[in-house]
Amino acid sequence: MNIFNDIGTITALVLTLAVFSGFFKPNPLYRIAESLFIGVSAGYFAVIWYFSIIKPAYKSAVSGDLLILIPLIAGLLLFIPSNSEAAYSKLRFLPAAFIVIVTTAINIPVYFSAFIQEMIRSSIIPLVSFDENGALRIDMTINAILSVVCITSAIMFLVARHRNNNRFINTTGEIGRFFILVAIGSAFAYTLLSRLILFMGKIEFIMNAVRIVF
Amino acid sequence: MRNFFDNISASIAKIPQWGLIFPILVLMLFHYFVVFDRNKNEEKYKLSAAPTETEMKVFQIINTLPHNSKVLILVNYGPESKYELESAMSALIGVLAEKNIGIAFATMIPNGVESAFTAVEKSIENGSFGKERFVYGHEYTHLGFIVGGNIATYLIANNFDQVKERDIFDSSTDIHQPLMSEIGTISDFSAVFEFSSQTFDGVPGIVSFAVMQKDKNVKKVAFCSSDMLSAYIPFRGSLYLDGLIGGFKSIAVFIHEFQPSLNIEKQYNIMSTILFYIIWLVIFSNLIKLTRKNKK
Repeated sequence: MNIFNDIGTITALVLTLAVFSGFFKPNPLYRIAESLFIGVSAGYFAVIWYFSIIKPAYKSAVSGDLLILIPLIAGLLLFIPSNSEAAYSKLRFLPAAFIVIVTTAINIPVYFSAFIQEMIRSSIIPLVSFDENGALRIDMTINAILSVVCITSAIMFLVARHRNNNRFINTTGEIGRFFILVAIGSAFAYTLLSRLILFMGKIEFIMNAVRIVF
Repeated sequence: MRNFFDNISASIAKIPQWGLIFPILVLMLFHYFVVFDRNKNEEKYKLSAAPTETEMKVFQIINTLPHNSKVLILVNYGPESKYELESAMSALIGVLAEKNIGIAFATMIPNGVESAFTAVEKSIENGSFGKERFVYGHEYTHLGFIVGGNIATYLIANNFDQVKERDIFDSSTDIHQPLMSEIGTISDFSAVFEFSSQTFDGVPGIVSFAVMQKDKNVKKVAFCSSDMLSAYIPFRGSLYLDGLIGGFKSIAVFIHEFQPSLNIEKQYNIMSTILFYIIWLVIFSNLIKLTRKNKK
């Protein structure tokens, strides 16, 4: 028997039940657990950021790598109040612009390759699939054709929203709208499923904890 | 007849909507302790899902990894997806350890730091690879939290020698870790696995890695949680992803294949049952809304 493990389990059990008590209605126990969660999360992240960024940067600066001072100063510039009228207050735009430019420079090739180039390639090739014996793969073929129909009609929907003078575009756009709604619905369902799995995990934890403690 | 329906409608309207969660809880617990436990004794319940082609690809990649090679595992999930992804990661660690494959962990989100260690502990506790010890620095290592999202991915893909300089405990990997001293660039790994519950600027981490990485021989496999499935599925047949295990169903199939002792069938079957109840919950809550509107 490990007393520390047991204390940990009991604490986790009580806190889990306290959070679940919020299902019924907010109560003091729920609010304590909520505040504790926020506090612990903030503390945890502070520690992680300190050891991942601040400490290595400090060590580099102490060991003579003064280049680290540039991001440090740039970071401090971000703290200049936005309502300041002083001439130097414009300096806060420098690090902000740098962040935007670097992020864009990194993301554009990734977005272009992943979402445009690769999506077009994998949507079209192969439109008709065959297995190793040369027989038609109906499932894969339907999937590929459906993908092309979905993509085309979804694009048509975006076009039809602005120009509704063509009946064909409008009808295809309506089909596209349907597919977009199906996609959004599926994403929501998957999110719900994920939260349910987490909920089930907590129920399992409660059951095991009750067995261990009592 | 009309009165009869009016009475039913009035009775339904009286039920508070939040009260519907309790029948679900009761049914879930009933299934958990009565139905599935009884079935377990009779060895009746089995995984009702067969591996798909995509899942088979992942099995093949894992089975063909050379003995004594090295793999990189990117841990991009936190407690919010622990229940889904931790068991899968623990199963994967078990398989890799059995083949004496060295594992380097790295995480790109702050709350993923602890997840790698808990998965290793879980793997040892399960006795999945017949070892009581899994030696840090020799058999696995943790490179810690790599800051920067897509920029971190770029570093991992192209400047791995910088990333691997120091581990999570701030000790030099070249001096203290035989495992990492054999690794210079990302090409020294046989495969990269990502366990993910979030994307970076909308792009899955492994896809971003694949776009930036020059060596296309390194296999890339993603494990994602259910809520990330819609972000990963478009890349399923692409050049950027060699294999995908996405969502609880795929994870259940994967664990069933590689770590049967984890008893995932029970959780999978309960999950399917709960989903069935949820559908009824949605139907009933909408019915309550409708009858309340009619009453007004």
